[in-house]
Amino acid sequence: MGRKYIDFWVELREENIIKELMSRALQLGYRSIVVSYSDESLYEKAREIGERINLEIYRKIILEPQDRSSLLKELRKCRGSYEVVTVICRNLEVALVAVRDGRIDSIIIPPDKNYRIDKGVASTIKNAVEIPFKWILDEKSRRMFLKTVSEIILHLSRRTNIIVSSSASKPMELRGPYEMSSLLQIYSIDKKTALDAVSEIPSKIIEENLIKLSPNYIARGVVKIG
Amino acid sequence: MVKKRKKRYLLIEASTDIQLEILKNIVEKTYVKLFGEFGYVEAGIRIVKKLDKRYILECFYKDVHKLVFTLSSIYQIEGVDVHLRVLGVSGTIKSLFRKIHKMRSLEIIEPGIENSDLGKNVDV
Repeated sequence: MGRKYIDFWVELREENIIKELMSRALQLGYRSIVVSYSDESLYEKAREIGERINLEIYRKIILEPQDRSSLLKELRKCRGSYEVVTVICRNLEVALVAVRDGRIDSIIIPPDKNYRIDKGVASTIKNAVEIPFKWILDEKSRRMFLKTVSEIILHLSRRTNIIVSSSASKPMELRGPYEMSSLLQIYSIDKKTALDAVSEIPSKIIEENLIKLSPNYIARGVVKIG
Repeated sequence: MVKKRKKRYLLIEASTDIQLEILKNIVEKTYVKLFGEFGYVEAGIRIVKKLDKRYILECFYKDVHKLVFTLSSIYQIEGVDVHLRVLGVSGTIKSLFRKIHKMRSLEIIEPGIENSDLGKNVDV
């Protein structure tokens, strides 16, 4: 059986392009997508279309806190309602908390960050690092972003998992799994590991979180049967 | 004896019809921007055929991922949003066509390329 490809971040912004966005994702070879949205009705519509065209939809929240306390506060509020929690680390304070908090599934390091990814961040990292492919499409920030990706791969790839997502909000911004994995391949990561970044790793995160969100889950490693 | 370098053929599909010259220029420009003049020359990139909205590109085996990355980082051509989707990579044009027919039977791609196109030569 082939790989099950997952796009770990698709942004739902406009209601009228949801159908096109999802059918394009299916056409590109994805079996599941993780969506972030601002309005619950957008998710409901996506779920409805997903059921019809046989595309699995999971919910995701993107947090962009300014400091440690607001991050912890937002995490307490939303962890139980989303399958995936992602944090965009704009400063070092947030990054140092986000990399080791077990409630967070992935972190995003933006190209305009004002800190260095050094041994301090690398030594404490527990969560996966997500690379949104859409940021490469922007020619102005492309150079900075490629530099950030290079830093991530150099310092963090041996210690943690890397995920590549499209972060598309329009159908034209979606990219196929092979195309997204080529981003890691140009940094000399082998093809199998690069493809894992769009299939195995996100799939494992979702699987674990679905168990955690089920009513039968009691504690880590303990599930109520029957 | 000089060892012959392996080649690969990529079948790509554009979201809109693009003229060969324009595609050639944008691929060259983007590749040079990302990997430099030397990288472009070393990759041996060539557009072999144009079939409706689909194109066959040729490059050396070791640079396939770089070309795929270049194609996927192209977002706009002359102000119009485009997506260049890689449908398949193969060692020969013949096996690439075989792959296309298989994909077409699985409805991964829409019909468009006919058996008779195999013999056509539209080299640039």
